[in-house]
Amino acid sequence: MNKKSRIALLILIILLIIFNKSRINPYYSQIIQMIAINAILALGLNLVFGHTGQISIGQAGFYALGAYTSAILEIKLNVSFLIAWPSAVILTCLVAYAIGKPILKLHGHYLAMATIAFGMIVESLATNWLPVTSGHDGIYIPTREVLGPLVAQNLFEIVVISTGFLYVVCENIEYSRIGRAIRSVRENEIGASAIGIEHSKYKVMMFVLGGGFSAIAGIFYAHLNTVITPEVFNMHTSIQILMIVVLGGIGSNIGVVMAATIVTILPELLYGFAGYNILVYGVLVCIVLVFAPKGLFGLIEYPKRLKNKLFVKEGGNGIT
Amino acid sequence: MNDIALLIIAGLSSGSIYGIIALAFTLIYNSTKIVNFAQGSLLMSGAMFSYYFLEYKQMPVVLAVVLVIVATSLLGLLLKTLIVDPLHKKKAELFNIIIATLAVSIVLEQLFSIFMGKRQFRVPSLIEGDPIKLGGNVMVFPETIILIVVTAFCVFCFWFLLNKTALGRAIQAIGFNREAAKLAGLKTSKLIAITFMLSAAISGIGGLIVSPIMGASPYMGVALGVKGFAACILGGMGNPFAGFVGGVIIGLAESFSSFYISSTYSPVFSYLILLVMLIVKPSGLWPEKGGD
Repeated sequence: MNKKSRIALLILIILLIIFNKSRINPYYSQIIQMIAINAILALGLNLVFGHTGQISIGQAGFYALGAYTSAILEIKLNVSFLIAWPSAVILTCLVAYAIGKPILKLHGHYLAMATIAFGMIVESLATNWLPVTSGHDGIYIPTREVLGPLVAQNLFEIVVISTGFLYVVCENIEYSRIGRAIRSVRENEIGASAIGIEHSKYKVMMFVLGGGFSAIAGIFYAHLNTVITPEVFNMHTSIQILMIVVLGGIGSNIGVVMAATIVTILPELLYGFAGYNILVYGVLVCIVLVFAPKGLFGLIEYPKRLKNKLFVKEGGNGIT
Repeated sequence: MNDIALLIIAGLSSGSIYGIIALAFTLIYNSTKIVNFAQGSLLMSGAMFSYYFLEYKQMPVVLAVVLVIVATSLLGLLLKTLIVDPLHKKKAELFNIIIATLAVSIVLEQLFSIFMGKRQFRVPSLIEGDPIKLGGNVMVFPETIILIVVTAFCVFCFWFLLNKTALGRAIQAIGFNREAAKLAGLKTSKLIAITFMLSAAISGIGGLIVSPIMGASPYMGVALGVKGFAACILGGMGNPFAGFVGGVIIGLAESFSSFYISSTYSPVFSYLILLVMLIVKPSGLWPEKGGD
């Protein structure tokens, strides 16, 4: 990550905080928080899917683990949030390790289905394990009382700054030794192991990190929304996270954050057409996969490529 | 004794549901090595069409059955021409095809929930009749019998089709090596279109026989699709009988675990079976011979 983009990110965060503190429109602040949560989720999956090339359609399971663990510790066991939040992240990472270690040996649709099964198990438990999760009634989190007034008032700032921090973590991973290793695993697993990269180690590492990101998003969601119910963490959420990564251009951190922004704002714009927004994502994802595998921002280049294809002879580079 | 008989019937009936979905998975997998994640939603489409033609339009049963099968096969054809073909032409990665079929399943779900409503619809049975007594308190509903018999019949038909006919062997040849099959003079695109239509038609039949028991709702697809895949994995991909047996095993495990252990956690058990099976033996109990 170069100096310019670091400064740009810092300015963006400061602008967002000023915007929130000036209390121009609480509705917009809420949308910004949701964008941040979706961005964290998508960045986490991007580590697993985009950079390492391992699909996961069970991210909502980790999202739920983070949200429920923090809420249960705080509400039912009266643990301070200072302990509850890290424990939720650590527990989720441990679960991700226990699940990831065996299933990341699988490839293709087997891996996809294994992650779906994991997500469905967590969802069923959240729905049916009544004494712990309260099922469909959900858990109510009185954020102000749990976090204390100081933290509760500045939750927006915490969420935005954490998102920025996690973004920097992703960028730094991409350009580090680990980043090069996971990219080689994505491109060619056998080739990577031939040059001495332990592919299973890196795959599990990224899976755990992706789980940790989702857990953080889950904790933020639980405390911002103040109620968590199993429906929020169902398979559709997992698919939606995957769609954000696809729309953003698989493997591009900035693209994924932009896609998270679009996917969060779109339903607000389509407010009168509730139900259509998921339809729009579905169609959009199909279009992107067919016409622009590099993501929504690759789609912008599509007319240019089409022109090249139509008017420039085979072998030409399109520059005349 | 009665309990056990009832549990076996319940297990067989839900097992048949998973079995018929497994069959639909197997067909497409045999010809293209693609796992169609929209399979559950195709069955949902079949169930919703059954509601539309049988209950809403009050059509005669035979006409409705034909229309449901035709409508779902057209969906299968659309899936192939609009999504799978362009992706295949671009040599897209396997994961992109998986995501595309997932997106299709969401699109189908949303289309049905927008145009027909988000609730659970009641669908009449194909055959009117009273429950049949099997002695004691054990009773079987005619729709359950239809479900089990039709599924078993479909499984047999497709085993016959795949292994004993020229068309079936051509389909398997394409799955084995598409380029070689093309060089040998097979019209691969057309044959793959046929498999997608057949698989969708099977899902339509599944929708017809499942909906009198489970009802029809736009959101029934995902869970059924995953359990159908679990049946596939348990039995072994690529063999119609294995998928059916896998489905019955999962159905029995569900009905017995919900009776003897806890009904609230029975869905967890079937997903656990899938997860454990994938970890321990992803090739299934009766793995396909050769292949990759």
